[in-house]
Amino acid sequence: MTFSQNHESYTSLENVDQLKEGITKMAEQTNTIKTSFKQEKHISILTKAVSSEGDMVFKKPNSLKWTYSKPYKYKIIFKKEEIIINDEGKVSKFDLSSSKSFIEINEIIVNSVSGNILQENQFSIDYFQNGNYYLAKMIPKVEQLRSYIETIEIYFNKNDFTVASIKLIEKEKDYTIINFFDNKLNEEISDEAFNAN
Amino acid sequence: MKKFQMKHSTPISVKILVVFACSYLSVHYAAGQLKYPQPYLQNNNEGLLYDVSFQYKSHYISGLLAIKKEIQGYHFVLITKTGPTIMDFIITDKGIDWDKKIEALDRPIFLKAMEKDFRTIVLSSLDKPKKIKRLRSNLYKVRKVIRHKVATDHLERVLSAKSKGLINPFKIFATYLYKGEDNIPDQILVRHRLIKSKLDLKLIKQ
Repeated sequence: MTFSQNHESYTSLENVDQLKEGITKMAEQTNTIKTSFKQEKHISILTKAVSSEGDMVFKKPNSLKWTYSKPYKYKIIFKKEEIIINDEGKVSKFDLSSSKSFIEINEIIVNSVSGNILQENQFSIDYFQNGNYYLAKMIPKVEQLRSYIETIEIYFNKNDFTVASIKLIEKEKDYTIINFFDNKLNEEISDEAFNAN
Repeated sequence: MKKFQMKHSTPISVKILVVFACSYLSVHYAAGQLKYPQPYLQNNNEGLLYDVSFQYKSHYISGLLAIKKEIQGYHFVLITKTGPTIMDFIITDKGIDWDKKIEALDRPIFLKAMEKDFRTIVLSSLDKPKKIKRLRSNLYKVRKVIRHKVATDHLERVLSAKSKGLINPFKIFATYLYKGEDNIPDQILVRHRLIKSKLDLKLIKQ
């Protein structure tokens, strides 16, 4: 059962501070994350979702690498002020400052996986929970980001406050769900792991 | 006897006329009613997904392109491989209806070239059979919306489309490759005459 199908079973979260404290503590104690992911992009014009999968590594303060292995080979690395992309062996670099939307999306991802996402100055946030997950539904306050993303839903595992799933809703029938599994926290990750090759 | 033969033999001018008439009829029969190249999205209700890359000089970008034929026209959604939609538009008979576009690409000359490229990708010109003229076996001329010369294989699947124009720097050369017997191209390559660019689409079977 996917998180979205499970949505009905969520109820409003009364004690939001408990969630915030748990996430802050987890973020403070986490220096690296290794995880696998499955991604589904839903587009209104396609009857089937666009599915992909791979691995993601994160290292504090802001190194992030997504490696897509199926159905295409694609790596995207966010490192300091640049994005490096390896697309089936073709490597290209972009200056992060050249694209505001890229910066914002990068920040969302880095903050999500590092547990530092609940920034109420940038988002209007509603909190929910069920037996296994906390859910933060976030609506961007900034107009430019809102033009790209209508709502972000972050699902946190209740047992360790890590991110279980991210849903980026661009419009009603156009959204991306990324489900994380096999989380490994604080394993040694060398700087070379963020190379493009 | 000789006189009789003379009287009943068909004059050469009539023979020529008959040949032309047969040729004319066969062309219209082929183009208008039975056999002529069809746009491959004609009967596709699920939409198609392509892994797309665009190379212009040393610049290279890639993403995923979803395409579907709808009542209004051809609907295109270009997404990054990480998920977000970067372009969403419908190409109609009159032009492009935008839902989402990249501001950096919002220049009339670029948008016009892009429209022609995307019309060529889906072969929208084949939507109007009356505008298709058969030149010879497996070779057609299309007059609307883009003037194309289209070559097909024995199954009438389009193998190549070349836009017209002797001094047209944006002249398009497109090729369509098939792995199986169906009419959905597994790969589409779009190039231009004087511009060092390559648009490469590879079908993703889901």
